[in-house]
Amino acid sequence: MMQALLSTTHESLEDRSVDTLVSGLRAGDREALRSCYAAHHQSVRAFARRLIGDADVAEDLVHETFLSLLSAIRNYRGDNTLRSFILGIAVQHTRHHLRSAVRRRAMMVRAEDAPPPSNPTPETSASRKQLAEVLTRALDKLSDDQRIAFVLCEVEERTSREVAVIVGAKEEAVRARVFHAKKKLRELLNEQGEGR
Amino acid sequence: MSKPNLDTLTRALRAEVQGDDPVREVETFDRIVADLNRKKVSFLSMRRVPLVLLAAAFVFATALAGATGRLRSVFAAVERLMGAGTKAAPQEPLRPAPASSVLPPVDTPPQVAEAPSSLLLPTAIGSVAAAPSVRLSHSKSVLPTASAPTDVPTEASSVAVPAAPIDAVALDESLYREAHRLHFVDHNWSGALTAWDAYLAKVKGGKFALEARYNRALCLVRLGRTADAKRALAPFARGEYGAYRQSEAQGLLDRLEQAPPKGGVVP
Repeated sequence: MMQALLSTTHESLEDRSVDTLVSGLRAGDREALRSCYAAHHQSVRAFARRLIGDADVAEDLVHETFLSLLSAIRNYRGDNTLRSFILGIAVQHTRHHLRSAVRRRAMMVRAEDAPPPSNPTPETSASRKQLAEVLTRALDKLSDDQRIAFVLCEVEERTSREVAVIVGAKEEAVRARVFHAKKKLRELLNEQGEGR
Repeated sequence: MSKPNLDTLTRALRAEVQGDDPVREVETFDRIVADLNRKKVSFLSMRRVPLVLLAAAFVFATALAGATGRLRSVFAAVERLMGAGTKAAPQEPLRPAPASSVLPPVDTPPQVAEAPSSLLLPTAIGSVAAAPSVRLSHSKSVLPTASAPTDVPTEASSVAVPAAPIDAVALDESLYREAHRLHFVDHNWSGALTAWDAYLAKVKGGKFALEARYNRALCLVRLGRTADAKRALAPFARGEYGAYRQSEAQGLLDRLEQAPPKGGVVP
């Protein structure tokens, strides 16, 4: 729903056709890059924040994604949407950002000498932010592939076909990753609940 | 006591990341453009590296040769080459002519070999080498050490002149880099503002001046200095710099008109 809304907004921002935009990007045109950024940065940023759970690191990922777009665009064949292609670039650059975000979170927990946010209940009037943090910390325990697949499929509600294009894997593999991710997340959340 | 299940947490994460930060969006794009420019600049700088190295090697070799007294032999070799190159075929008949025009008549053949050295040198290498070569023609043993110091600074200064613009470019880049770091890495808005001001004061027509001006405006927005920020953004929004940052500046101005940015608080 939200994605549909965002995409409508983004598309209305820019009159250029995708072909013009892509050829501009291939030529290294800054205006084309600006248009592309205007149209797609929110999708990339939202994905990066959901995936990484750290606004600063996510911003670095957005920066890196668009920075490498001008060279990566040569590989764009036009058989998928430009947004999927750009998200694919983000996925390719995501691994070391994820590592640094996970390390940072772990370090902060140690430094504060406090347990990670507890599994809150509605009774404790847990905020949405806290709930999101709980899931982010649980996601830290997954493999990168599972995490990416879970965020794209479950959090961003993309089809497994689209996710397969973004991550460059088969649909079946994506579904399997999501399945295992959900299974592991449930186990982790149950453990946290019991541990309290 | 129901715990939130995975679906609830997933929905929370989905909804949590909806807010946007217009200043940050602009800053990130600015960072992208700056990095692209820097890549371009560093590529150009890389192309200059061989020239700089060549010039440095030449200066060093000349200075070394001057200090060790071999410069004269180099000059002599050059003279011989020049002499051989320009007047190769009719060597003997032509030499007395220039020599006689400046020096007293030269009689003996051994001195004929040295006489052109003092005469050809100024035209071959330039006025820098005139003094030592004249001394050479008079006496090799009297002034070997005296000529050395005069060679070194003269040569060095004459060759090092092209290095000055490169230093200016380096200064330009280092100031820009520092401001950029404070702004986009440290998020130290006040420090970045000072650094952008310093950059703009130092390199008024620097290649990134326009970008620096825009970044300065962003700092003002971040610091909550709305009136200053509006003043700084206005020329961009009016299109005084063409389409450069026009839409972003207008967007920021609109937002500043609607509501001040989150109290200008540094996030």
